[in-house]
Order: sequence, then C-alpha cells, then structure tokens
Amino acid sequence: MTDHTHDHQHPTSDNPCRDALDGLYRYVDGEMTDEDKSRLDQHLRDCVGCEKVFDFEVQVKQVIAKRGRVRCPDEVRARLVEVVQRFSIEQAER
Amino acid sequence: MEFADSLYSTALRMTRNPADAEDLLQETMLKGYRAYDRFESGTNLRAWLFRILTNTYINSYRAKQRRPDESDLADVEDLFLYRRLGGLEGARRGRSAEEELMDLFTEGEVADSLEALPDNFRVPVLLADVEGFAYKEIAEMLDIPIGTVMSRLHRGRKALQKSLHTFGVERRLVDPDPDPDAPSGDLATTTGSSTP
Repeated sequence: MTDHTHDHQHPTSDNPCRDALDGLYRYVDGEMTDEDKSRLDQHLRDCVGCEKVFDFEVQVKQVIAKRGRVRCPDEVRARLVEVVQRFSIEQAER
Repeated sequence: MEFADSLYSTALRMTRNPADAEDLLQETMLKGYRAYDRFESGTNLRAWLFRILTNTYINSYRAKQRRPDESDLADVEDLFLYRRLGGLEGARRGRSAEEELMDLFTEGEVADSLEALPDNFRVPVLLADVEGFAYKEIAEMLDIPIGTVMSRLHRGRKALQKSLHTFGVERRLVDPDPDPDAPSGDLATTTGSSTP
C-alpha cells in the first residue's frame, strides 16, 4: 500500500479519533477531498466508536432532509403559474 | 415550475408563515424571469433561483420578522443527540437508526426546531441539510466566506439537535437526562401528555 506522506495540512496527531471528528461535518456533507475521505474511511473501518458517530450523524441529516421538506400546495402552485403567465403576456405585448 | 416544491419549502421555513412564503415564492420566480438573460447557461439553475430567494428574503422579509436573536442561540455541546440517542440503532425490532429517528421526530417538530433558529443559522442549515447545497454554493448565496458557512452550520445544527431532543423528552419518547446509570428509556409511547 502506498503511503501518502505529503499531507502538510494534516500533521499526524496522536489522537486519530479527534482528527476524525474534526472532519465530521465535511464528511457528512460530502465536502472532503478524495484523499481525506479515504483516510477517514480507513479510520472508520478500524474504529467502531467513530463509525457509530459518523453513521448516526449521516442518519440525522437524512431525517432532517426528509422531515424538513414540504410540498408546495396545489393552490399556491396554481397562483404562481398564473402570476408567471401574466408576466409573460405583459412582456410579449411590449 | 420545476423547483416550486423546494423553493416553497425553504420560503416557508424562512418566513415561518404560508402567506409570506407564497409572496416570497412569487417574487423569486418573477425576479428569475426578469433576470433570466443574466443567467449563465450551463450553471446551476436551481442554485441561481435559491440565490434570488435567499437575497429577497434577507432584503425584504427579514426586517419585518420578529425573530430570535443570534445571542439567543445557546452554546450546545458537540454530538448532543448522539450522546443521548446514539444507542438506538438496530437495537429495537431490527430497525435502522433512520427509522427510529423518523419515528422520533415528526414533521412538525423538525419544522418548529428549524424555525426556532436565528436567521444567521437557520438559512445555512436549511440550505445544507434540507436542500443539500454545497458549502461553496451557500457561501455564494449568502455572500459570506466558506469558513463562516461551516461555523454557522456547526452551531446551528447543535442547537437544532438540542431542540429536537427537547421535543422527544416532552413526548416522553426519550430520557430527559443522559445519565448512563439510569435504566434505559423505552421508546414505547406513553399515553399521558407531558406538556407542561
């Protein structure tokens, strides 16, 4: 396995779990570089404690997304279409 | 009207009331149509409309909102929910943590918890957690640095988790206190109401 030792922004720390948790939100939000992500995935395979935390936070985000969404009511959508159509007609008449 | 659902959903959580949300949605779409010649094709139309929505909200609606102040946002410990509910997963009836959490937090509770956040935190949380935008997109919409987006998400999410936990405690679905020695609380719903 190739060891990537050029990680200038990630000095090796004596606390890998703390390092992992520092990246929790960037991981959950899909904002990590491939290199950081594979390093973190490796840690999660080795550390059940961190894996549980990360899985939990991923689930929480998914539940917030599902529960936080509302549909646009039909009557609101109908009035929106009307407003936009009226605008288009006014534009065309100019 | 491809994005009507997600724009309306966000508008409702921003303004906290259906009439204002509808006005904001209409204003956003009209501005979008008027400025459409300035939209660069090939870029993300949804993100562009959300930028208009966010700016319109901040400039026109925020001023008239009675809103919780930033200083009202309590400092909450990291991993607030995990420390209290982290043992849920798979333990009960072979269900996933997501199923347990879906049972635990109703639509109304998530809505109330989101709406209780001060604007500065609520808007980034809505854009990231509910709408799934990237940090960079949120930074552009709000015209703030990515680092600020991240720190607001961090604080906002912790406050959101605390608020959700409070609802669970009120419905007696979870233990009020994270005492590790206390007998583990059963998720079974109690029939009595615990609303003070």
